[in-house]
Amino acid sequence: MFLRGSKQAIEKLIQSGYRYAYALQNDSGEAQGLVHDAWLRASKSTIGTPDKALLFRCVRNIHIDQYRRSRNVQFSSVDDIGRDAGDQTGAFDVTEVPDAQLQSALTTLRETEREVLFLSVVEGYTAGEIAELTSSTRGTVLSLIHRTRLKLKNIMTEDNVTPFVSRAGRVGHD
Amino acid sequence: MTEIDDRLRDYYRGLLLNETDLQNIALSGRGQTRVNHVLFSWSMGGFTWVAAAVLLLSISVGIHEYGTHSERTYRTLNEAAMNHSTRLQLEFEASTIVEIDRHMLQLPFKVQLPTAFNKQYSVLGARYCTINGELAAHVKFIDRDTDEQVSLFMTRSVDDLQKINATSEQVDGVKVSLWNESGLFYAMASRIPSIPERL
Repeated sequence: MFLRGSKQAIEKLIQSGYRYAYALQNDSGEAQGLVHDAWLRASKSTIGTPDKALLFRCVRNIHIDQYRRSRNVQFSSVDDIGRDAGDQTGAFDVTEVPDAQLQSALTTLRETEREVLFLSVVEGYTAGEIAELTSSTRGTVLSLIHRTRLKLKNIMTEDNVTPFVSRAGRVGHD
Repeated sequence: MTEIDDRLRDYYRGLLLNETDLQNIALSGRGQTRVNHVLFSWSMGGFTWVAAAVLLLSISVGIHEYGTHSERTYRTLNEAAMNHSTRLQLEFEASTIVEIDRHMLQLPFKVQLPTAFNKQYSVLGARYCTINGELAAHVKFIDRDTDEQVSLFMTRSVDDLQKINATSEQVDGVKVSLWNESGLFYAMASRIPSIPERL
């Protein structure tokens, strides 16, 4: 069924693409559609199994080309991001989903902020690699990661009245 | 930041497509669709290049053919007009076309009049000539009404001449008509305004 690459490797790759799409879209349905389109485009672009870099590029390009344009969402310059940290907070019930506090906090971030945070923290990309993927500079990316981390921390600190389930499963307060 | 980082990792790693959706996506890009797509892409890519090449070739050949065709027609028209105007001496005098055919033994075809030939023309005689490099007969007539000479050239309808469409043009004061008929290529020339009725 699969020409190259093990089934598990392909599934793992698609799941990574889905997470990246989710970081951009912050919506599971749209993220699924986005990774599907990206996987098709990536598969067309190469004879073998697409690698993660290609899939991520496709996810990002399709997101920019179609989703964001069709939704007419402003994509802020990375230089403008982070200066208004903490000016937005989540306002929905955060008690019924895993780490709902974090999810709420992520919702308040801009997509570019979620993107760099995801690529840096979850995928382990270096600032240089993120800069290459996002057509930015390493310095800008480093700055954005730093500001986004602070912003996320502030949001979660301000939201410390909301109980959340920590990584260790403890219920606590920040 | 470590705890937030850990929570971020846990949060995103907990985001998973369900098995059905995952399989659908994987298969859409990889399975048979993938094979067909690769082949299709290559074939389409190849097809595009081939189509482009054929198109370019066709245009080139078309331009060349058009140029060649136009040039051939133009050359033949001029050749007929010049042969008619120079009034070279006849090699054979005759009063009928059958006599001319009997004399012109070197021609690789039978000398014969075209079907719609004007009956008011009387045969004067003929000589050998060439039309488009082919050995041809130049038969001269006299128009009994106007007393003007009319030239009828005929040769084998070889490929190059077959490609000439029937036409009628004025060249240097001479009306020249070209056409193919019954395996022969004909050119008729007369001074304007004594225009032959053939075409």
